[in-house]
Amino acid sequence: MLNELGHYALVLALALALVQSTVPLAGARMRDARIMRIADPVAGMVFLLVGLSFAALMVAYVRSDFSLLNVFQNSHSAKPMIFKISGVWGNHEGSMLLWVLILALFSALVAAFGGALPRSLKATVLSVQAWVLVAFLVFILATSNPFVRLSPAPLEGQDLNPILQDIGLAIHPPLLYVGYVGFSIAFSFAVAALIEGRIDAAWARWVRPWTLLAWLFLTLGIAMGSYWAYYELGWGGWWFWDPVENASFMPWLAGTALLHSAIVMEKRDALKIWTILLAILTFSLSLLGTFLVRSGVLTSVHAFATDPTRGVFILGILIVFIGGSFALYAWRAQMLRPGGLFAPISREGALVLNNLFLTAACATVLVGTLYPLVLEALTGEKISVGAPFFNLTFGPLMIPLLMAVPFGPMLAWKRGDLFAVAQRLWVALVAALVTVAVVAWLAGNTHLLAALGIGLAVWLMAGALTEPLVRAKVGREAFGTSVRRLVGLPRSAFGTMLGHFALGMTLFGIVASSAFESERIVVMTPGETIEIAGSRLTFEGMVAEIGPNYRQEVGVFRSVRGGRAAEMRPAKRIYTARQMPTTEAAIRTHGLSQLYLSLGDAKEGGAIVVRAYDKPFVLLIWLGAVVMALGGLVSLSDRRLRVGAPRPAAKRASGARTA
Amino acid sequence: MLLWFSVAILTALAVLTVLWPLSRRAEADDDASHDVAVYRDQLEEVERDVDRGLIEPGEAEAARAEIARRLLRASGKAEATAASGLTRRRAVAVVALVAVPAVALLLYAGLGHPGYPDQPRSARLEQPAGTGDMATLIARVEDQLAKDPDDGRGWEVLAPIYLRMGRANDAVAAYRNALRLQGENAERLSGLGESIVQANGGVVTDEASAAFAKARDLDPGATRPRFFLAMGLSQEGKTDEAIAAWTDLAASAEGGEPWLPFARAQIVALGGEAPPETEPVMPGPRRADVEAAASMSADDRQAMVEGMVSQLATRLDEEGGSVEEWQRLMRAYHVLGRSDAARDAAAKAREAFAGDPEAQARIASTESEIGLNQ
Repeated sequence: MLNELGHYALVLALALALVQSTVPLAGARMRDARIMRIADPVAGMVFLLVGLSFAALMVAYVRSDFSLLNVFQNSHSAKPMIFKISGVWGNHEGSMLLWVLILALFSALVAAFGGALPRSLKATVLSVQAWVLVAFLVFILATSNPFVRLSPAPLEGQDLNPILQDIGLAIHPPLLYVGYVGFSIAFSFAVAALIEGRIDAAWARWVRPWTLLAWLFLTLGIAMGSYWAYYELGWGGWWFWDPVENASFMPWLAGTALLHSAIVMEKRDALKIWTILLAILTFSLSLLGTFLVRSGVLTSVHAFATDPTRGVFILGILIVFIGGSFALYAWRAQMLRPGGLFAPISREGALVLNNLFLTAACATVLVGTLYPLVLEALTGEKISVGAPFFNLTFGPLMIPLLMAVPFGPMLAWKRGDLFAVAQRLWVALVAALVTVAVVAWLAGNTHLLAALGIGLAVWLMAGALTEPLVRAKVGREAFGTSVRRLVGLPRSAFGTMLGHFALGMTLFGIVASSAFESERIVVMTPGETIEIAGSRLTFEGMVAEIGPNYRQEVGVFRSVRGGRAAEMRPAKRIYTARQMPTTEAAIRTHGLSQLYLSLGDAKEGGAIVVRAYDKPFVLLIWLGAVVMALGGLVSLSDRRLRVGAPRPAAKRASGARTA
Repeated sequence: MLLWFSVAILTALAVLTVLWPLSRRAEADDDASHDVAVYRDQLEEVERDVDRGLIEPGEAEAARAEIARRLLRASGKAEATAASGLTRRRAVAVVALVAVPAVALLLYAGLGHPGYPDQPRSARLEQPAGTGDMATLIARVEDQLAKDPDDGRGWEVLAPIYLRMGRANDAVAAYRNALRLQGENAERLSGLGESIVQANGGVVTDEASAAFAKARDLDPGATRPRFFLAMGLSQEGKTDEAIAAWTDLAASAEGGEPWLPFARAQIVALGGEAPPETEPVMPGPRRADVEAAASMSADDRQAMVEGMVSQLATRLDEEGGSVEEWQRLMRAYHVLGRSDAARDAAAKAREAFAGDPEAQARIASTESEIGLNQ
């Protein structure tokens, strides 16, 4: 009964979402308060219905109810409970349902906490949100229904893809989806503003925190996915410029630009057009990303051929939403009143520069991701666009942007003084130059680029720390006064500091782990010992083990580093139901660096191919992302209103300043 | 019943969420007042910042002036919300009462299966013993073995069933466990060998040969190990040894064995001279063969079917054949548990008899008979 009730709840949610997508919008146009108001409870009810449906599917997974085709195809009774639950979204149908659940959750949140919003804006936003909801519910019911039944029901399922049987699946997609779908709020607000033809003062106050929330989840989701790929795929790589990764990275780049734009809009009532454009762009890229991954277009263009309805549907949704919102933008954007004016050299100007660089970087990733797909669809020729392309295009765009980052927060609103800012950053600059010199001296001049990269990372970190210190006038006023000022700084200032500092951490990790990595690929026989980057690694032999739904051959290694020994157990697994092999890497962390061990093919006489890597400071890559998200959280907790105080033009010109 | 009751409750709740706000009075509201409130808050914020020393008084003055300009602009426009129209409210109420249930129920009628109950695995396994299909029985034994993996008898029961269902890798594992726990005998060893052969797509690997050889040593009279050993020799291209092995096997036959025609065909194919027949060799199993097969042990039947099927498939692929033969091939694959191969055969048959509606119908009936078209 529960299966069928879940199915019905989903259908009913669609019926109600149709009401939500039309009636409040009509009410807002007729300025009818009671009709507009139905949006709130309806949005809540749609969320409850989709939630019920999702819960029913989850129960079916937990109870191994193979009368659902989706459960049969993706579960197995011997699977550990955690993977039965995470398996709900480890497949196309279930993950689309999770997507819709989060979408409905976000509309319900706007309905619940949007009390301060002007009523017509709120009604329009919820209607726009419901358009997306309707499109996805129809997509699920028509082409990807998880409630399709199977009769007679088999007694055993086909199991989940073993690579997905990992704690990563429990965490990574929900984080990523909260990020993707969270940007739908910014999108709905942008479209609502275009429909209404004006932007309320409350608009930016709303858009910024929602964007921040979505952005911080997306940041964590991407970092989690990267770490998962790192330890699961067995090659020690953490980013492959793989289309699936790019699909999540593009909305992150656009979302980062959106976040910065929204700050300007909130504080200075400027960059409205930019913010609207970026809001539309970010969610469009989220949609594109979801579909590139979910439709199977990426693994092969032929996925369109194997399931034409799904592919065509996907294309239809993309065209309607992306095309529609951009057409609306082209038509209505000039109606929006431009905001405050500013000089080119000012905080606003710096943020425009930031937007330009980030969108350009996003465009290069888009080209690198879509070009091979389009080429294959048109000519059948397969090419792969990999790291070299992105290193040549994305890299050069990022370097000037990263160099400019410390300047941004120190510039004054409306009109700033670049030279004065540069003077305040001299400590950071010296720190960066000293780092370059020390690294170059230690590593030799073959690693000059790496030394410059690490110098840039230190510049970012020191520059980020400088900003609150300068604002608190540390060293220029009495110590007590400075501390008071520092404590009194708004939390968003610390959020900025953490975010920019973390960028430096990640860059440090990337440069250090790729430039100074040690790698050894050797055939080892039991008892043999190798040395890698200060660790002694002894192969003690292979052991066979049986897990709940797999068999594995474990290589037992003893690693000694600095007098401390530890056992490392990389393994090769065979998942019985699918007869599919996976590699399980063993990782030993020392400080911020890691020793990474993975097994290759077995050779004659108990020997085995061993891949060992030592990756210095590799943990900083993901720690940076975590600190970045933490910065977002700190900024989010700042409930104050934000006013960007411009420096008065006349007083500055006369040089008179009140201290 | 409970389902329809719940469906009714959900639908009623959904309708109510639309009707409820319509019935309540709404206070007047206008957008400009929201803007004014925001700007007033911003002015207060500037004051707080000045108190905390975060911005200079000069900057604060400029900020105040700018906010004041926005405030003036906002209070200039005031567009009040209109009163709610009764006709409009009625229209929305009708949508809620009629359209929502209609859309939901119609869609569900098209998509759902309200009469089909849930089938959680544990509940199905708890059905009283003796009921349930083969799959349920297997699952019960599997669950038992998951709890007690050292139950040798359980593995022994399960292994040949796996083999017959075509779950060759499971069969290999089960036979290994049975051998480990119950000790070696010819039956288990040849079962293991045959599972390995099936898992390797019919190739008698070294590992399989070793198992068969051991089985033959333990029970020199057993047919199955000798049959597969001979097959292995044929596959390796050791013609003379293979002929000798087949001839030896054929000589030990009493005449009615189902594998005999295959053995004879092998001898001829290898260029040897088949021993005198006791019964004419027929292409494919005739009624008599099938009856003979029914009285054989499961393992011998398996061996026979394997050999026959591969011969039949090759012949049909190369030379074509009648609809009946294609149907036979499909059923044979079904018996072996190779439903993919059966599906494949059905597709080939359809292709071969394109434009022959009667043949198509017969293929379709065989498909539904063996449960392919679900």
